[in-house]
Amino acid sequence: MHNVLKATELCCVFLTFQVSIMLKMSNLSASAIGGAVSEGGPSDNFYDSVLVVSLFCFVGLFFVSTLRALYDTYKISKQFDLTQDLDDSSTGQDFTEQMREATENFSKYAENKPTKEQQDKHDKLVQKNYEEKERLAQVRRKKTANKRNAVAKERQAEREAKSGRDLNSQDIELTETNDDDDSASAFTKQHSV
Amino acid sequence: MVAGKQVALDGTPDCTACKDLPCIDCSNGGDPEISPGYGSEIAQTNGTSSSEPPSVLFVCPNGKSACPGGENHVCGANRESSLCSECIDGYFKDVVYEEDVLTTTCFECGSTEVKGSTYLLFGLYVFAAAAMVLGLRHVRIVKSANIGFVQSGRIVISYFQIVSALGIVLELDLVKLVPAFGTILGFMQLLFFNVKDIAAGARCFGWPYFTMWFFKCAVIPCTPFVIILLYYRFLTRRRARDKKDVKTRITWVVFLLYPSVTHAIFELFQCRTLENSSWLKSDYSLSCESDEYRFYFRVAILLACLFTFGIPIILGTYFYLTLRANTKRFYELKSQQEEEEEQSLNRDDELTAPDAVTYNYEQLVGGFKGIVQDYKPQYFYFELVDFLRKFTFTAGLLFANQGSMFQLVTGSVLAMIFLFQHCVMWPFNKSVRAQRA
Repeated sequence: MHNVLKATELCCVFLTFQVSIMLKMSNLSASAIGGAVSEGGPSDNFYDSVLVVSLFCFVGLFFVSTLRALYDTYKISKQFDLTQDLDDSSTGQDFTEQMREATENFSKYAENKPTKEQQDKHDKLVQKNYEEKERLAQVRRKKTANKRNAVAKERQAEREAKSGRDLNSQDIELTETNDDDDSASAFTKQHSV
Repeated sequence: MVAGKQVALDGTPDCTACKDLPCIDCSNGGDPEISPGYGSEIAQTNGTSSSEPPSVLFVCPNGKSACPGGENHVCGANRESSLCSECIDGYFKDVVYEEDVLTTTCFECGSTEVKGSTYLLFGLYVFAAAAMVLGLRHVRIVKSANIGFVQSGRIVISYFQIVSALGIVLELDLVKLVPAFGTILGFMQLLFFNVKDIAAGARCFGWPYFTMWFFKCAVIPCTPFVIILLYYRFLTRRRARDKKDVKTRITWVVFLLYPSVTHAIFELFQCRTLENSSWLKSDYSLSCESDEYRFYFRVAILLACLFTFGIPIILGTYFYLTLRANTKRFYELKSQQEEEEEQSLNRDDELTAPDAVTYNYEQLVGGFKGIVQDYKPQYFYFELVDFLRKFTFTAGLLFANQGSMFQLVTGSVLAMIFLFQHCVMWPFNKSVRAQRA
């Protein structure tokens, strides 16, 4: 769309020059100043020829740009299967909605259509990137898991060692407590007798 | 208008000195009279008759109203100086069209309309500069939705930028053909900062021509740049991410100012030789041989080097160096990927572009949203071509014998070449990727 708009702008600039030439020629023929110009400069016939030739060129370019825009649209529409979405009634979408989506997809595709070779290359690269990422993620996961296991084992060992020390001290305390219990029970026995 | 035709006017009754030329009217049978539209370089104020007839006549650049001719050879209303090209005190000169030809007329400075329009134009300019800095800060909200509209707007503005300058460059009344076109053109001129309009009324404040010229070519264009840079200088302390948009804002200002400022700068290079001396075309009271003119001529060359040629050259050099660096970087990344090195695990700049050109385009779009994203990756530099086109039509054509048929034909051929180039390249792109960028 913007290419066509820009081409229109350039056409308008060109036509402005053509109109200016015509205006100038009418001024020169109407004005007496023309006498002074015709002394040294080219004749009016020359400028007439320039005007006609340039207008022909302009018309030719205009057709070339129009044909180019039409050809692009034709080439794209040939490659893009527009009926694909419309025939698919299983989605349960409204026909108008499908049509709107298809048109949007078509315009997006038309605006940025890569060549087949570029597309294949791009797809291959994307696939390769994806596989590479997956592989590296697996490696990373494995490394992390190993590291986590190692840390867990280390902590476990530390815990066990700590709990071992605690158990020993508990044994001592328990022994001492048992002695107290024994003396207490003897005392009770003595008084009860 | 055609170049001046020198005519010997010796006062002979039979008009033999200029019998084939239209500058002298001999129809009354007596003393020859100067025809309307012709004048002398002898300074004559309105109502003051010359003591002796001028020896040489020229085509008056300001039309029949400025040089009414006649036996007494006086200037028109509110006119004075060589070829009656200047306005008397209390009046200022502005461009008008007279019989399809671009001329000037003198407007009274004291009128409310003139002062009002000057203040209005300057106010609009300041408002637009402020909007450019402050308003576009929120452009992120609308950029994805309206990017197509912005592109179309740029194309339309480009057209009016060129066409509004063409009338002056070609010295033709293009507006007369389509009267409604004049209204549209006047409105569009407000949108792209036509510095000439803003400066025209400023002469009523008593500014000399060169001061006014410097004001419109250096002070007015620098104002938005300074505002933008100061604004973002303070912003960087609060919002560092906005720094990225500075280049985009500056490119927008350049896009809007380039044609009118370039035209104004090159106005100073236009001199016209009258007999043995050279005079400035935009103000015939100033000699192109004076020391003051020589000084401002150097200033004009400096401004042209900095603005007209400097900006496109700097941009082009930057594009070229970036393309080279990005191409090298692309192949480095590609080779790294192909070797499947494990170090690429934590790389931030993972390669997704299919080729070096697209990679370069993706790197550039971030920094130059305003001038790169509109085009296809292989034509990312196309804004430079547009700069060249604007320079050609607003300033370059001034050197092709201004006002002549040769100038028009040259311009027409150049317009055809640019149209042909566009049809071959078809450079615009509205990709989804560019919109996201």
